[in-house]
Amino acid sequence: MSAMGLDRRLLMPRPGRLAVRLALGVAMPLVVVVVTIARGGSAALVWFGVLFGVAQVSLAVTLTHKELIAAAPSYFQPGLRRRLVLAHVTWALGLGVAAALVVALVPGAGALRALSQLGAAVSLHALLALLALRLSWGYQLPLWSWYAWMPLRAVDALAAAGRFEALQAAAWAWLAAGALLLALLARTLARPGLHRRLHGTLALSLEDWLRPQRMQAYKRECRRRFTHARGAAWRGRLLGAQLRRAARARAAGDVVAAQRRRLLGLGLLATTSERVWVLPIIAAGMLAFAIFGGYFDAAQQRDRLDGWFGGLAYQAATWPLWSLGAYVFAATADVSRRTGLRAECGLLARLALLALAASLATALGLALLAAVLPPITRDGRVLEFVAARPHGTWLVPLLAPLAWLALALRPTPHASWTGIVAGPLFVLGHGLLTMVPYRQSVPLLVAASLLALLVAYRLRRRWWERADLGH
Amino acid sequence: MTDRPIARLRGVSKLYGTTRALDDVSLEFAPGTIVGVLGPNGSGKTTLLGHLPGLLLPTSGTVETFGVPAARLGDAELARIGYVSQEPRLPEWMTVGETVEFVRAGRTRWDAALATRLLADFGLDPGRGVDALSPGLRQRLAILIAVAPRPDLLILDEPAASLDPVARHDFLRLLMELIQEEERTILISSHVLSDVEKVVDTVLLINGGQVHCHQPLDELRETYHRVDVTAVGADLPSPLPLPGLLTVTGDRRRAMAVCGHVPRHQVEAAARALGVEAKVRGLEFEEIYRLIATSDGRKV
Repeated sequence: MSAMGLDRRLLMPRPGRLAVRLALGVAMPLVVVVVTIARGGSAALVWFGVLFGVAQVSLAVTLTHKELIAAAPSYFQPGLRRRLVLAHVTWALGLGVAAALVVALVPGAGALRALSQLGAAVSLHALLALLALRLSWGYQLPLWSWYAWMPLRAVDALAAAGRFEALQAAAWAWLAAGALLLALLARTLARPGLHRRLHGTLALSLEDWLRPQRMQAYKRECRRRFTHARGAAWRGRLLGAQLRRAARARAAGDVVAAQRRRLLGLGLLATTSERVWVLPIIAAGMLAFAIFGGYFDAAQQRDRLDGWFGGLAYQAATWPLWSLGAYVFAATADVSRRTGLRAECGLLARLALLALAASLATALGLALLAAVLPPITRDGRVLEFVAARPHGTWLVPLLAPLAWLALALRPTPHASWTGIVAGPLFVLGHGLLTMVPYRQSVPLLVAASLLALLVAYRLRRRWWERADLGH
Repeated sequence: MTDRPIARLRGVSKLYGTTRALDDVSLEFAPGTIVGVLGPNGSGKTTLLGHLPGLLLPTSGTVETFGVPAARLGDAELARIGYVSQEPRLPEWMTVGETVEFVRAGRTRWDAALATRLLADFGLDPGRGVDALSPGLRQRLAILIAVAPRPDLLILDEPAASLDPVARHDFLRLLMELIQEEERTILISSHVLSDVEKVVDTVLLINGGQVHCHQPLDELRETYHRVDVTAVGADLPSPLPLPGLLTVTGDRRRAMAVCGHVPRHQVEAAARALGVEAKVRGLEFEEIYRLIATSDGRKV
């Protein structure tokens, strides 16, 4: 610890991981900055790229701090809160200065102002640190932050319309926001409430997704909260129905069906929040996403087979595939090997059907939106809402074997891996259908799906033959 | 030794949703006492202990530790507390040595010799990663970190739950050593009554969030008496006319009675007056615990 009270362990927690995150977080913005400059292009892209790098570093530091705060001895460490505040102020200012230097040194930064950049970087660091510390799922933020690249064209359009300069010119506003957010972060770190709340909890980092022990501990901690008496009434009724059917099937001697029902019930618990307000918020978010995407695609005027953005609304229909992984591996060891494999295959088939139903509902919803939403005028152009064509309807069930394969190939025996893979797989599949003519892309997807089914089945059969059973 | 209590709870209740974990608890812990906090699962032991360092805040009532409201404990007070929870969370990416160093760097008091000795006694390899430790070794590391700063208040919540018999023996030996320092207060919750009995001087029995007994162990032992009576000639009278009678089991010829809150000589005199064969002895600690823990809230 230095005389200033700065602790190296707090300032550079887990240097190895920080270096990896720096490499990931800075590499992509760096490429964007270089390409943008080479093309003599948009200052907005430089701005966006630099802030993305700031976000990655901030999250890496904060999530490690969160783990430290959650560790049992930390609550009783005198001066830890003060040292954490100092570390964050140092990081915020350091990142702010680095961002300002990029603007000052990089040719082609155009309208960017160093002071605005400093204020924006400080604001972003403080905001993300606050979110990562306060949200129980804060460890997912580094992953979600990549979605920030999706509306990149909107930032570009903003610059083209000349509004970006005005945004940059208000340096005092950026600096004021930065100071305010940093003060809020310092207050949060200095007061005992956060430390009390986090003490003894399992604070994850993004990398923990690949560490089976940590994820299993996290699942155990989550499972303690899973009781079917909690949450929305429909959730409890659905689970109750599944468990009753499981009991009836077991009584009738159909152990495979009993196991399948049980897994479905547990998967339902794992993939729906007990918090009643979460699902309406997600539903509202999806609706806003679909509406925005439909108009955004209409504005693109590009020669594509389908709207890209609006089509992503179908990704919501992959939810049953996410649940495929949620409990399939967590509670299978108390049945025979044969029953386990047969129940898993049966569950996969039913989840694929469920995904198909969800896709049909999505297609219906998009068609409904297209029928009721009026045309809007934007920059003198009339934009008609574009509903994505319903190829997603069958793309989603085709992903089921691929999700199963991801689960079978998983590097770690925990369930979230399927979810991590299912999302990007949808984006890839959707991209293929959008960019490549159907007569090429459809056979390709079907072949990939069949191959995945075959390989996944063989892998899972082998796994069940060798699995350690809990009885 | 000063008279000022090291911790004081006044009318403390704690609600988790609709579940009442603590119900109007008022207590004081004197400095230098070794208190065994006992009670069945879910009785409120962990909740009670969590209130003292301010990890939990009461729904109603007040908690003071070192004379300061527990919600506002500052660095100076927190540095005087050592705390070991049932499942201690430790920084998983650090090695054992780094964890000890990290804690030591933040502590104003640190007994380096004790830490070094405990590392060896507990079989902790400083170069080993915390994530590779078994639950037992992890618990030993948590105990080391809690006791090495020589805290004035040591709170141990089921510290021996995941320790093997040898490690538990070492841990008890360590506790005995820590007890030698008169000003240190230790609160220890455990289900292993034989362990608690060896080290504590005061017993706090809690059940259903309510305190059933908080008194010195020796005093508690003198409170309850077991009377084994065997009829000689006529059947035993029913009910048995014994002072402070709490429970009776047996039949008309032979019975075992428990009497409480009366001096032993009174019980012996009453037993003699019955004209039966009677043996009076003190209750074992485990029997006292069972009696109170199964009382369903009745005063025994």
